[in-house]
Amino acid sequence: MRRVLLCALLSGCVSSSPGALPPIKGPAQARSADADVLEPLRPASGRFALVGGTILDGLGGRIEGGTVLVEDGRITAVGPEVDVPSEMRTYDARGQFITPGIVDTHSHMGVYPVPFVPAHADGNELTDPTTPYVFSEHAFWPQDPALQAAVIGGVTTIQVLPGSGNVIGGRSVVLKLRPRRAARAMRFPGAPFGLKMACGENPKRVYGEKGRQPGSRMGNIYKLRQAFIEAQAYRRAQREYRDEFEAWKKKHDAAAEDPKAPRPGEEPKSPKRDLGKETLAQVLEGDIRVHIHCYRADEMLQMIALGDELGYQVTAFHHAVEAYKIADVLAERGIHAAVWADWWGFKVEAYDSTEANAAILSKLGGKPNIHSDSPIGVQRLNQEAAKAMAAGRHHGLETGPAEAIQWLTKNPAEALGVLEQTGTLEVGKMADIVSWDADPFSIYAKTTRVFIDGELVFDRGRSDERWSDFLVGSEVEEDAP
Amino acid sequence: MIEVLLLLPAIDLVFVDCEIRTVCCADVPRGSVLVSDGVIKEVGDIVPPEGAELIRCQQGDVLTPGLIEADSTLGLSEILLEPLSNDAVPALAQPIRAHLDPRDALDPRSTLVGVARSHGVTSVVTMPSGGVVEGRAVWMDLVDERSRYIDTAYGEPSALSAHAGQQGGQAYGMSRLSAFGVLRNFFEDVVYYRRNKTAFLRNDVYQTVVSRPDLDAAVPVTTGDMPLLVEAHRAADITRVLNWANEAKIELILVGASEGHLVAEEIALAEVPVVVHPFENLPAQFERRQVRTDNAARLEAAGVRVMIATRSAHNAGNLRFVVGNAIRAGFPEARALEAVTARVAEAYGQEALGVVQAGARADLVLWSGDPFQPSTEAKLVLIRGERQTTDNRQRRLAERYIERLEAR
Repeated sequence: MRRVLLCALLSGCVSSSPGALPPIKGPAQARSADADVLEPLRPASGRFALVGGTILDGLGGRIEGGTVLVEDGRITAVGPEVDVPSEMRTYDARGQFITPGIVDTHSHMGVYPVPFVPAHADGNELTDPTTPYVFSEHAFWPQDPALQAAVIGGVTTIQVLPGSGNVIGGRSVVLKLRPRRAARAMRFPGAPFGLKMACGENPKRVYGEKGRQPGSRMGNIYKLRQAFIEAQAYRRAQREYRDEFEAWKKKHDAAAEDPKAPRPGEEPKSPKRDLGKETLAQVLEGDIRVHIHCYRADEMLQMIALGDELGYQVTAFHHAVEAYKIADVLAERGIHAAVWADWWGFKVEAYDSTEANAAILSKLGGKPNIHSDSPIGVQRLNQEAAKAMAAGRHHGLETGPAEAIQWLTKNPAEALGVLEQTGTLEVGKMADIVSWDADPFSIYAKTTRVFIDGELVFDRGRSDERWSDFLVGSEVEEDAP
Repeated sequence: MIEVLLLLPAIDLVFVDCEIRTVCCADVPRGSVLVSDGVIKEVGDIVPPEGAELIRCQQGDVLTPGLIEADSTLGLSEILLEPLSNDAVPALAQPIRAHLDPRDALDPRSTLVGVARSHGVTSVVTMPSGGVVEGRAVWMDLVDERSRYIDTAYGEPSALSAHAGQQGGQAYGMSRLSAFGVLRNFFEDVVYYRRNKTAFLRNDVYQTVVSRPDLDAAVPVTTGDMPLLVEAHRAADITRVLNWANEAKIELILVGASEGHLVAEEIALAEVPVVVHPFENLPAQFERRQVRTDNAARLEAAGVRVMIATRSAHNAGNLRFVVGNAIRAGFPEARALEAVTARVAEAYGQEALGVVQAGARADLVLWSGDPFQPSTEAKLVLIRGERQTTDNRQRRLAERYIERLEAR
């Protein structure tokens, strides 16, 4: 459908007939996630192999003495017995662990960059409780010093979300952490946009304190329903227009082919474009994924029911502190729960925490993501998963490393709609690969190398340049943490 | 009443055949520890006394002193964002709050206590937050509700806490000038007050701008009887604080010291201990522009007495993981445990605590392995010789829902 419409816009697609017919205006184009950028990410060229490591492949497998082959930024072989051509560049991974790159479902890096000064606080458009028209990408500062620290922690992909002050915060963007000069140039190729929504305490506090709606959880839901009901009408009008336009264009094309055919008449007028409703209409189409900040079990159930009423599907609940209470529902619906290992108690809605949250979800067939929401936490998501595993074990829910690595890689990649490209070590996927000097669930484990699209973005022991201009001119050279 | 009797540490307790990290002395690869009357009586080869309860260590178990969080608000806040459930940050305008005494609000039955204890934290130093002089710090033992020590879990104030850098400025005048000025003036007033107390109380001498309770609370700091905690991050701020404290003859403990590695030798020379938060490794403010992940390691290497802390209340249980990360960033493993036990006890004036040594208080944790690894569990926690539960509200919630979900 999109291709047809795109074609309608490009002059080359429409056969031009001399003078007689007016030019086609056509529908306005919504911003797509894979729109052209000035400096698109391209895979690194060249071939190399990581040889002899313990592979946790993200599919639940563990391969001892395994090798990963990479060619032009894609994985071409994974296994215990892989022929490595003699001329190929190799990285010795004996005694090391090899995992997929970590994917953080919840980041505000770049939109709340360090240093945390008011001039940098760009993650919340707190001028209206529903701002589906803003894009986190438009505020992202690629010089955030936290980005490189995350990569050193083994993170290769992040979702940058607007904050949770609004019921509808705006669009998120999925980025690959290769250093580039603009957010658009860091976009994960083909990744869908996300929509950030929030329930509970934050929106009602932010606006309640201003004496505005919403001032309560009732108001939160009212605002959501109102926004989506308006978006439904917008979507209907858009669809009607598109149908009319298609019918008209058929006539137009026929007239262009054959001067004797009936004239197409006046081109149908495109409804006035509304950027907020456009985003929500794309959510209703299923093209934009719904990520909801929601702590309490009962509120998650509310949001699921609301989705059934309004026509959106929840992809993931974030900060889902009480997800364990509804693990069965989340598993049945295939809804991801992005959770911390142990953050709790800063708000009432974060009071009923258990460190076993992820383990309970996992055992019931759910899809835990260990997320950070923090430029500090993102540096050690592997340790957070280790804590969650240990808590599970305390309650008799055993999770092995081969399963738990999926909480950091496969599950979040699926939540972000990029599992076909990353999140596991499989032939054909992007070469987003991390090697570790020990079991990644050890507190002492450090990354040794991090590859993104086959590009070696971190190599321990090599004197690494600091990515961020902000850090240039410091007295001391930082060694990797 | 019966329950209370059961808790009385009258019966001797012996940990048998354990790997012991003593902190004070050489580690014992395999040995025993006798606990009696709340105190460690013997360490090494022990013939257990008749009737003693024996706790036999399993292969890989490690016995250590209980961990101590040096910088917390634990016991002062249940929910951070609910003002009336959070006493740690009083909404006061005045920058000098030396009179604040955590004992007025401390809750040893807080649900946070059990969470931290389940990770082997046996004591915390807890203090209010906000202002230039924040208030006093109190030592609190994380005993469980059934303990006979529950109502005496905390002691007298053992330190006064203040800010020198950006946070101080934020609290008073939006500038370091105003914040450090009011701090310095306050201590000059305290000395003046101490020397002229009688006349002062008669109202016939120069009057200070702060209240008498603030002055009284700070007097021990000027007589060398109580340390002053000062948070400072920028290297220049650290130097300024060191010089001032030296002139004012104030016994200092630095907190934070993100850029401390730049002036590590100065700090070592001044013999000022430092409480480091190793997770804070990003230039989160301009005053930490040169923060380093291996700050703790570098300070230690320069001869500074480093303490490691989480600066957390709800997640004080992460103390052992913060230590693990400090080791990962180069902190010497041999001194890592000391940085969260004996050194903290000593800095806050607790004697014979934080070590596994005859005569020390029996605050002990039996771990299933390396205490700093997430996969390790605190199997048994002893505070003042009393066995504490490692259960907590969070674990009960998990059990409740695991049972319910399994029943579905």
